[in-house]
Amino acid sequence: MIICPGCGADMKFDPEKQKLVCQYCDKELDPKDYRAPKAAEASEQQGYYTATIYTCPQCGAEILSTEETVATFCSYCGTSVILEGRASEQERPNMVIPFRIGKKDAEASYRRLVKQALFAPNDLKADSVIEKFRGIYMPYWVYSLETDEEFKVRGVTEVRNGDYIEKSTYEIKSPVKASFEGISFDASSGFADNLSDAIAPFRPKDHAVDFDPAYLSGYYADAGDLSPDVYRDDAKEVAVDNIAAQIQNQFNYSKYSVNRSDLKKAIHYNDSSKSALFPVWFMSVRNKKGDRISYAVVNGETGKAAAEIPIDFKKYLLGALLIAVPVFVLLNLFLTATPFKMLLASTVLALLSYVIADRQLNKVYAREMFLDDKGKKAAGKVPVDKKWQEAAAQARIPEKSNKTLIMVLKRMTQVGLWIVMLAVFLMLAGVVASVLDIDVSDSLAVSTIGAYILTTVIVTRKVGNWFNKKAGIQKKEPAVKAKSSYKSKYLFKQLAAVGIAALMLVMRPTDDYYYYIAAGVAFLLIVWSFYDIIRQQNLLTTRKLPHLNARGGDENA
Amino acid sequence: MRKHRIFILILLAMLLFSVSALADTEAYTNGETGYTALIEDDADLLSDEEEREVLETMIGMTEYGDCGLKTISENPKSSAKAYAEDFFYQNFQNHTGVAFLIDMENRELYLAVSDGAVHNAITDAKALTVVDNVYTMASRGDYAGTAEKVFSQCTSLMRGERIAQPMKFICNALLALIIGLVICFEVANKAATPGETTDTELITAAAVTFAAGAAAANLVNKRRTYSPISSGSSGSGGSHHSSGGGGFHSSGGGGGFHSSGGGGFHGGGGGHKF
Repeated sequence: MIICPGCGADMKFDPEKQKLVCQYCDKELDPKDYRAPKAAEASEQQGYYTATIYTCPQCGAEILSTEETVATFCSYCGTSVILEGRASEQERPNMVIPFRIGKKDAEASYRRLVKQALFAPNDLKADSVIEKFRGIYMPYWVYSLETDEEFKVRGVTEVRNGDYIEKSTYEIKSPVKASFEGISFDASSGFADNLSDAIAPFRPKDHAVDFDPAYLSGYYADAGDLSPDVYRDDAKEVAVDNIAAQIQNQFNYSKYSVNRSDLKKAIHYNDSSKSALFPVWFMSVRNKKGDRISYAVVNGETGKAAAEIPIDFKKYLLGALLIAVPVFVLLNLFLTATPFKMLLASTVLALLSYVIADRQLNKVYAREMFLDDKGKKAAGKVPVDKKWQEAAAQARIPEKSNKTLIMVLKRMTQVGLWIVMLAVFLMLAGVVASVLDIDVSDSLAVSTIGAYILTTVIVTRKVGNWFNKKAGIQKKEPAVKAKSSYKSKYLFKQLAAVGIAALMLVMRPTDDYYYYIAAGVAFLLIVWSFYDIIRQQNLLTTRKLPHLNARGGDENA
Repeated sequence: MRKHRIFILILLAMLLFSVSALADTEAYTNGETGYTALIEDDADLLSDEEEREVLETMIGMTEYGDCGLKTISENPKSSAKAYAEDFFYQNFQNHTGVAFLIDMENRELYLAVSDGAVHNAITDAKALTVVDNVYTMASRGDYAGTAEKVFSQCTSLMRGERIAQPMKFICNALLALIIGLVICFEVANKAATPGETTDTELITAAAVTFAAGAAAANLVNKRRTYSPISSGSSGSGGSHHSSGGGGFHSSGGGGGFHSSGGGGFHGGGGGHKF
């Protein structure tokens, strides 16, 4: 606790003034001018500072405070409970970015975000919930990387000269000097990767100062439990890829068959890391059943907000009905229901629903097993399953930002291919109908659509791989796929809908009612599958309550 | 109302005089419009009395165009559609109108609608609906009722009236609901998922310096390999021409088709098995 030199009351750090302000007499004090008591000063000289560690009896999460007030709720599991406190000597981080965004601004930033979420439950917008935002200094590792060398890479050219091929090998040299300082990743397994990623980046180059415990006054701090090695490769990948891109711009390496990944392999560098505390406004909300929790965070330096926002099913259904009205009017203008069209529409929508549900299930599976979170995996919170550990080990290969143009071209080409292939297949169907002197029948239409989708998926994938290769992306981000036993209980509805439609098309009963009943059943199955999809989405935007697994605890404890 | 009755009586009187004496053929020509109603019951599905009743129903349609009913027990054409279009063209040439075929060989009903004003009112979708509304009657063997309903619905459409399309509304409502669910999910998903920070943003936030001198490529070694160009290979520098294909025209679908078998029928229509 910092005592006001004027009146002896408590002083807290004010983000707007960037000063310590007395809560009683408004006296202001620059944190750098604050002189710690002698005992604390001795401790600081040895690289430590004194703080109280509060441990949540529910989830085991640990947060620090330099104050002596009692912490009454846990931000990680949302429990309102008196946290057990004990004095502790903490290693001093190298730097701190003091809070620059106050609580009111953080709340406003969150309100703007949640306002855009049309289907968010009202609870998330309630003042009583929003006021739970708590300022926490999150531990981060700030990585630096530098290179100063004569960069060398081997390249090759091949030229045909009559009946001979001349292959020339070159050594391309260029002096390169580069440095990157301030690529940061969080050092707390309790801070989910996706949330940490969403509010990044922090700008230590602009606002970081030498650490002083005075900056913590009025806030909490997460103790941190991850070593700098956890995200070191991610930080290096970002920096090295950027260096390689800049080297690539200096010379025509493609003439020598040298691509970005060759350049990256040839770069030699030194890297280092420093510990830091960065400001984050943190809020947790439990669901109505009280068994899951969702988090909202705001970057305390920039005000960037991110939140996991569940979907209120009633609002979602109302929204769908409102959209359905103009769609219904349009359909009546342009579409006359025939049994075949209805079966075709139900099949297409069932397949679409299958793709959406499959994607959701993979994500949910990865989330529930901590496979999408390097920090949690490193802290030993991943279930012991070799197959999924391997998948998790490969996870989170960052997208290469400087390949944006190629990726845009890739998407445009793929969309173009879908359109061109559609035209080609329609023409082919016309030719087949004309040559064989047959009518454009249902079966011809079905086989044309099937062949079109299959062929175009294969072709666009091949084209996508070609673009990836051009962009130097060696492999796609490995997708974590949920086990089929886990998926099957959710995906059978869509498959049943497709099966029913297929059965009708094969049986081809004369009476339309069979078709309409089949299409109706398929539609109802699709609606049911969307109910599942929303439930899965809500699993994805909430998390299991941490049960003594935040620090040294055990998932199964 | 009284005028209307008188008009109907005059029409009936005209009908008595204009009906053909042929056994399975009934015909009527509208004195005002010149359009004809024609029944050719080759499959002998209708009694004389039924033919007269159907023809009576068809009279209303002759105010707007020709109309024909054909029943066949054997279909030498490739489809009911082709036969119906051919029947229309053979009997009404370039007039506007409709032809309804009951094809007993294929167990199929087909309502062909020619181009022009009639096709504007009885679109392909409407023709399908008309046939959809009657195929159960044909399944039960009520061919006279089937034909009467087809022509009365066609007349209603020409008068700008509505015909029942219950399945259209039910199916479109379900389809619209699912499309609404998909759109809403995409909207909700976008808002509910935290965004991702790009590498560019990470780099922008870091203190970055970069300096590179001029690059130079120095030859390390050169190897020459004998690799004769085979006669069959075009080589990388060659050009390749492909021929074949050529332009073609495809036709079909809704309105505006040209049927080769029908010899010049333009229009559309709809059919249904029964």
